[in-house]
Amino acid sequence: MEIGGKKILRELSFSVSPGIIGLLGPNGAGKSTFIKLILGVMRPTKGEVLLNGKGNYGGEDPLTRVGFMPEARAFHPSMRGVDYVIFAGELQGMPRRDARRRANETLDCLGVGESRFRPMGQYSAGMIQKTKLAQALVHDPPLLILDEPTAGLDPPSREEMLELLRVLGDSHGKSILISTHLLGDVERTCDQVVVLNQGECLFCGKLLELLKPSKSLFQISFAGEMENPQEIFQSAGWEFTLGEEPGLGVVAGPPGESPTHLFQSIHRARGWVKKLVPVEPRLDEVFFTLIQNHRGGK
Amino acid sequence: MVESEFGLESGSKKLILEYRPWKGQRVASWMPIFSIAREAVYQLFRRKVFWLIYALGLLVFFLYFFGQYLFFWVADQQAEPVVRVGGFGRANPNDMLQFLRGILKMDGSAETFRNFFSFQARALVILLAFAGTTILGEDLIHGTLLFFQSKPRGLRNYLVGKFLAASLVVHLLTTLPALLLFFEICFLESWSRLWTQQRVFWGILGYGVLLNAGLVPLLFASAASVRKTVPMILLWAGLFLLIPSLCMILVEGLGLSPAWRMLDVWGCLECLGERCLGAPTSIPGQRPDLQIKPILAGLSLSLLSVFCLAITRSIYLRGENE
Repeated sequence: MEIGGKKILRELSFSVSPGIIGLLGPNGAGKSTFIKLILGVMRPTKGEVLLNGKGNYGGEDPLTRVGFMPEARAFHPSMRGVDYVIFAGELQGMPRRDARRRANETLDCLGVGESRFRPMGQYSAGMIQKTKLAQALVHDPPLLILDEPTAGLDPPSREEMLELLRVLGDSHGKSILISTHLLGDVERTCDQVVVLNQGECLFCGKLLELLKPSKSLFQISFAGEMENPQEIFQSAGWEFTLGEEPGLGVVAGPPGESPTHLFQSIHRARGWVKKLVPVEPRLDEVFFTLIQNHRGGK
Repeated sequence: MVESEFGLESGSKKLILEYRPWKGQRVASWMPIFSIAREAVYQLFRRKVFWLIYALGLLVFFLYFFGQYLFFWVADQQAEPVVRVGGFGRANPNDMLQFLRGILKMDGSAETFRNFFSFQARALVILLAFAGTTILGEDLIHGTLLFFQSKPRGLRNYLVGKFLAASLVVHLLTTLPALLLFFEICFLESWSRLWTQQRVFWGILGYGVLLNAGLVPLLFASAASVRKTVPMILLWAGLFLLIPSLCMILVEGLGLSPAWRMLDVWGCLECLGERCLGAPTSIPGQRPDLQIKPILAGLSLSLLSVFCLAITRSIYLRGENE
């Protein structure tokens, strides 16, 4: 995909299965362009985007099956929340009566309540995001594309929005594509992840796969008369990184390796393990490693 | 679980329990055009400034509306040597009639409507500049365009819907008041005018269509480029007040070819409009030999419309969002 002669997305080829999918990438990675390609707002210079096996250029069917929640305000402040959602329903081809009924139901389900009759200029950030989610949901699409759904929300409202998304995905079978910078949101909500950087796809698959450690990592605290702990750990086949204090550190072994040998080696060296805690890789660490490796590779 | 101001637990439970799928029939794909036009018009009608400009714009209409009553009343008093005109004093009905018919052209002829359209120009320009930024420019400012584009046939429906809304603004200030005046004259004089003055009736409609075709593409291109109200009003004031004066200086002052009047958009619209109405082809205040030829006026407006539509298309296809 090129804009003004500059390549924005290149050799991007992947497919995702239904579920909650996180679209991750630093600024300028091509997330917004990718969303515009899915919506058919932009056309790829090469290749195609298939939604449910159908292209979205020239035909109108695929977009009736998509609900899009934009990151921008995308409404006039003087418009009432309920009118905004009714309008979105009408634009999706719903008869006005159906759109009105569905708008009230959806806003009610999402917890906007009586505030839906107030102009949207008076809404809090949380209410705005919920109303934008309602307009994406009003025509009951199987696929929701949400651009930064938790942007600008305080922690309780953010938690509430994530909970709503989980319910929509788990209890109502919606496929949801969430584009966000907030890795914590993805970790808590998504089961699949697409990582983009500089227009290329670095990873596409299950979140658990991405977080699967390449080594067994443990935080260790030990004591005893061990003179050179580094050598003892190495003889057991584990790498040791000393922590801030003596007797503290991180040990890394082959993936899936049980630390039994480690215990035996320490015991032979007249030491004992006080604490051994497995270290789970965090998404932000994995994400930054992916990005750095990609930049380093270039 | 964190409890928020909206009640997190109850919110998600409600969603689980009360969310129902929708399985209704969709309407035809072009129907959303009317929803877009309706919302754009509501958007405009919610602004008090719109009503203020519109009310000011209707002052000319009221002048003509009550002027017609005065004209027909004076015509009935012709036998009297002197008549009392309300609290304004006494006047000779023949002199008054001469003034109303000869100078103000309030006799319901094609000239009446030509002058009416001409007087509405300034109010229309200001109202359209304001309407353009409200119904088009603000969409780009608030990033609403992507919202429309994410819907089926989004951009096409959007442009046609907004075109309808902008057309309504044009007709609210020109064609509709002109038609009201026409029917008022029929009511005061004779309904047979509907048949005898058919040319004027169709001319009013034709003039309206012409204004629509000439001004709305220009509105789209300028509102999409400028987006904010004050710069937009300045741009339109320049186009419709400054450029006509410049053209007059070039043609009448410096003696250049009348083809330079092609730059004067409103002048071109007037030139073609008076032909729609069948009015005498002499624009008041312009020497007949220095007026623009209709073919040049048509060419100018056509080129302008094509140019404006090309600009609009490129801006909207780029999907610009601020």
